[in-house]
Amino acid sequence: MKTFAKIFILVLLITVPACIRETYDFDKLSKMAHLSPTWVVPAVKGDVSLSDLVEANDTLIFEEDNFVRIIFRENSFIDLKIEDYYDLNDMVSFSETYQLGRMNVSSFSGNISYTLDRITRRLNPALRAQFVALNGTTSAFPSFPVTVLQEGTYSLFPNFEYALFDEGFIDVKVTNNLTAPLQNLSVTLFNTAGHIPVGDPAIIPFINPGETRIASIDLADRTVRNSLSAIVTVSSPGTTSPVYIDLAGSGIEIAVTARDLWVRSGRIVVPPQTISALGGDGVDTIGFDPGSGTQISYISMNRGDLSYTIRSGTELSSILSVTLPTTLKSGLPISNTVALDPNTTVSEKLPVDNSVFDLSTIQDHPYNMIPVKHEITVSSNGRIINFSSHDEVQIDIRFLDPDFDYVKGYFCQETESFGPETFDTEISDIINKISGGLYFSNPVLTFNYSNSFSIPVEVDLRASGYRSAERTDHQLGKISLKFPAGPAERDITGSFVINKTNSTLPDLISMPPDRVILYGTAQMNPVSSVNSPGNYIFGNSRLSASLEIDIPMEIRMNNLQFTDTVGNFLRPDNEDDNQFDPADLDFMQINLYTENGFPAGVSVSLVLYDSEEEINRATVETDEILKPAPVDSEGRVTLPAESTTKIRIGREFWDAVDQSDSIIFVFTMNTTDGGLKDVKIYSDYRIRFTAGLVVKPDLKFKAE
Amino acid sequence: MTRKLCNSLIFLLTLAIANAGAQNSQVLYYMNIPQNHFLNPALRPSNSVYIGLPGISGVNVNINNNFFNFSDIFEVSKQGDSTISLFHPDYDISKFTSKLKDMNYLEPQAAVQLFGLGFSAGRDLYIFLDVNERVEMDLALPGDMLKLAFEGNEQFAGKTIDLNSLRTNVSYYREAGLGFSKDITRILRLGIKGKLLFGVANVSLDNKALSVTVQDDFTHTVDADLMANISAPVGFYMNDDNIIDSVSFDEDRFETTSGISDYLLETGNPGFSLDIGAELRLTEKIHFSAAVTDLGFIKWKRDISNIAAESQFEFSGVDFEDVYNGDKTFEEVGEEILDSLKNSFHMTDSDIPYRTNLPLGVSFGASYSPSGSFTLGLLSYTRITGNQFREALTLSANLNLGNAFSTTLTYTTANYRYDNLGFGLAFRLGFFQFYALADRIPITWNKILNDGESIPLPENFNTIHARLGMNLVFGNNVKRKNDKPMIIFQ
Repeated sequence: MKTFAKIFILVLLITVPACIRETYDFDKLSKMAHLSPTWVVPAVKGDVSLSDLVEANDTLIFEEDNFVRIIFRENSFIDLKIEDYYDLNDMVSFSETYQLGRMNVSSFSGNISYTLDRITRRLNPALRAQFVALNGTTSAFPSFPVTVLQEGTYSLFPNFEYALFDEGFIDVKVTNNLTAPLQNLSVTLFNTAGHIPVGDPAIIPFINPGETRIASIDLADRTVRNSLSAIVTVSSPGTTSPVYIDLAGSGIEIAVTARDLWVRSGRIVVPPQTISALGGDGVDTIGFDPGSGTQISYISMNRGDLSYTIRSGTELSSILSVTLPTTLKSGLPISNTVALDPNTTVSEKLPVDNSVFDLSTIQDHPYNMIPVKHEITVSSNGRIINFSSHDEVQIDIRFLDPDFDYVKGYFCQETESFGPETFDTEISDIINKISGGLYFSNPVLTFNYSNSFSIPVEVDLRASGYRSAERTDHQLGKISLKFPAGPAERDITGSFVINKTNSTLPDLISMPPDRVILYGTAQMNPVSSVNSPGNYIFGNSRLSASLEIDIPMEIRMNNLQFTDTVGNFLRPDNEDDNQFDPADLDFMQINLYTENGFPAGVSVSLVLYDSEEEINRATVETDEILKPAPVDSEGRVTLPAESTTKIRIGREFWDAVDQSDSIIFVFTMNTTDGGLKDVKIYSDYRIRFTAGLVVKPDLKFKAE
Repeated sequence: MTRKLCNSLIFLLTLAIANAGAQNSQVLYYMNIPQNHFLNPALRPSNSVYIGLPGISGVNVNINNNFFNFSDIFEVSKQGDSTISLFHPDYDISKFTSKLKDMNYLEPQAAVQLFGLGFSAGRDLYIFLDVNERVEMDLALPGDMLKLAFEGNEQFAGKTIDLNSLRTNVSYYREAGLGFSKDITRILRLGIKGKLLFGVANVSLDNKALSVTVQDDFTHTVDADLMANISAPVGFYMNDDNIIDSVSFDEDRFETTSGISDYLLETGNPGFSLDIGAELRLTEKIHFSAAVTDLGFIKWKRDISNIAAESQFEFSGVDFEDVYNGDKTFEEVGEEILDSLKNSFHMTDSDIPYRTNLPLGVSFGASYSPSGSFTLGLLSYTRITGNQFREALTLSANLNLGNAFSTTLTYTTANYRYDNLGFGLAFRLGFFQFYALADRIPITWNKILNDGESIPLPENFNTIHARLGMNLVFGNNVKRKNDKPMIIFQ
């Protein structure tokens, strides 16, 4: 038995080595080792609502029911004042230069006489002797032929030195104090200086003894000096009956008397006289120039001054009186008197506070004009002055700083531009990276205005939307504004709503633009009513308007893409810093669970881009990481949509990191039902999410 | 010459094989060697006296593991040109992890009998005394932990990583036992052995709770309540964050031989254990036996360090709210989380004495001896460590020839293996009794080539238990029956 046992054991031990299952050559033991466990770790969690991410402010409004609106306001979108349309400050520019014209001067006279003795001395000696013989006797008066009497000189006339008369006469009155009739009497006056005849001779054909006869010399266009002489020629038929012949005691008298004298120029004494017809008819007009096409018929003035400047270009002293007959102050026409010294200028102001100007009284021009009456009294104050009918008086009138109560008239079809007013969304960086379908369903533009122009006004509101280099122009509407019924009603407010029913506003907002520029024009009297000048402008008239763009977050998105390219932040700047070898990672996966309370779904793709080679090195794409939540008929979310997404990033992705210098993110968004219906955004919408990371490193080691 | 050569070969080969052994050898139970009272104090050998000499009478090495073998660690590459380990990229780790159990244990143990004495006193009283030096390690690794290390935690999403059964206990102690066995009745024999235990060093982990729950959303909840108890000349130093900053070994105490011996012979960690056994000889041929062994504990009081770690921590990711509120950046939130994690572990350092229990063994055996020298045996051995029960069932065929030769062939199911063939051999030369046994004889082998040498290794390591030794045995003669029958039928 013992032997058996030993043999049994020995056989067992011998046969054992024959049962070698495997040979392990430890001389060839590989020193490579690796660990590749798959680790999961929660990464990020969140429960965030829209109101957590963004705060309500003046632009982003959360209503009581949490509905979200975006509101842009511009309080002074339009601010047009009178001066933007009309320049009524300086609409009066009156400048007239008046010539004084002829002046009336005082009369002058003189007297010379010839005795019979002087007369007969000019006869032939025989006849002279006859008369001498008959002197003192009563006999028949001998006849004598036409005889030129000795030239006589009148005394100096005191009221002028010389004058060119425009009009006037010198009456030559001859008195025959002889006892015989005279005939063929001619009197010729001469300016002593130069012995220049003055006018035509005065002819008296016959004068009976004791009679006086007058003949006139027309002085028109004649220059008369103040020293005249007369040459008389006379004849007598004698008498048949004896008459007393007195050589010394009888004779003839030649008296000259000027009348109706109007001097054109000269050195004269101008007696005080009023010139009421400056400019011609005595009534002048002051024109108002409010601008082309504007027709003012009435002005009610609060405050203002008529500024006038009168320049005297004469040696006459003047007193100018101006009256505005249709400019009433306290019911009375405004007038003013100004005294001017010779060759002086006077500048003064005439207040026209609380006055009314009626510019409609001139029949042929019932607007923009007021009549002005003016007369001037001139005088040389007894001095001989140089005078010319061309002497001028210049009158300049300005209407300074008028403070109107109101102005009535027709203010034509003035158009003024307003804007451009830029509304910047301040998210151009985002908007310029968006493409695809985005539609804001119901934006509203409210135009609130205050109008104190009692004039029909039509506002043409336009908008241009800009998005990078793209531009679209939209006419948002032509708005006829309400206007007050002047003059009693001074101001009126109103508003106008522009929405999808009356404009292309939704298309503008849905570009979407990174900025919107609003501009337009405001035209007075869009329909010409020149024949019904019932416009009123008040002193403080202005057209102001505020604008409010209300964009309710009622939208639809259909494949709206946001694309952004950033530098590859996964690639370290310094190769030495790169302790991460893609070979160390088998894969990485992001497990994302979301409960999306927003009615919009999002899918993401991430592309590693090599800009040098211009190729995509690797792409990570996901299905919807957020599914859009369902909505009710009003567009409000009913319950959140759950989704679970796994985003796997493999080794090939990490291999591509070093070769790519850019990362392109593309987010694609769709609202509920593929963006075919409107959804509403509320600030209490939430997203709950948890993101976990699944990482499978592939750590390789090599034992030394 | 041939005999000596064979013996030498057997001895050497056995040594080669004996790189492991189970403390409680199923093979040993029915063998006629004095050491079988280790398994059941009611068992007694056939010799009257035995003496065990230090280091010679018994060297026992035992490695049990239930989750890996050599071929699980190494394999030949597919190309066949190299040997790769389980850490090699070409190694399919799932091959290894699929074999992991819920509880994976590794129990290397070693024991050296320093002294043994057993003798019969009177007709049926047997007294025995032995001193053993024992080093035991009990490492229980939850399968989830190993899977976590090799495969990561993804597989645990929606589950709890149950690490409550993580356990470790490394003890180095000396036992001095005194016992006796006696027939209580004609058929019943009882045995009892009390052992004084002297702990030398210990590291044990008291795991009240350790789990990590991973939700479907990857939220991690860590629940930890651990206490590491150490009785050893080491010091732990905490930093301001209450994290162990450094560990130092008190080398000064071991610079001299006396220092070493003082440390080894210190009795500052006392303990006690009890072995109780019974044998019921139902008939001459049919015997039943039962035993409870190592019912005891050690109180560790010397060079104590207790490191307690408690944590209740939940990590569900960075809360985005802090980021979008602008209060914090991602980096700051991440740092806060790490700080919370660190701070969630409340570590305390104390020096409170503690107690460890010995692994309890419960045996039930039944044998049938169709003849006086041949016995068929059935043995159930249950090892209870904490809440862990491990069962081994052994069928044995035992041959005992004149108390001079004893051999046993066993078949054991244990450690999830059903191919454990064990063999034991004991033979006596005069009063020198040599024995060697192995609970599992490797049927299949692997060959290791290293530096020109070829080393055979068993293919499977699940149960490696070998014991060998030499006893001095006296009083080995088999008593013949010399009484006459009372009734003679003619």
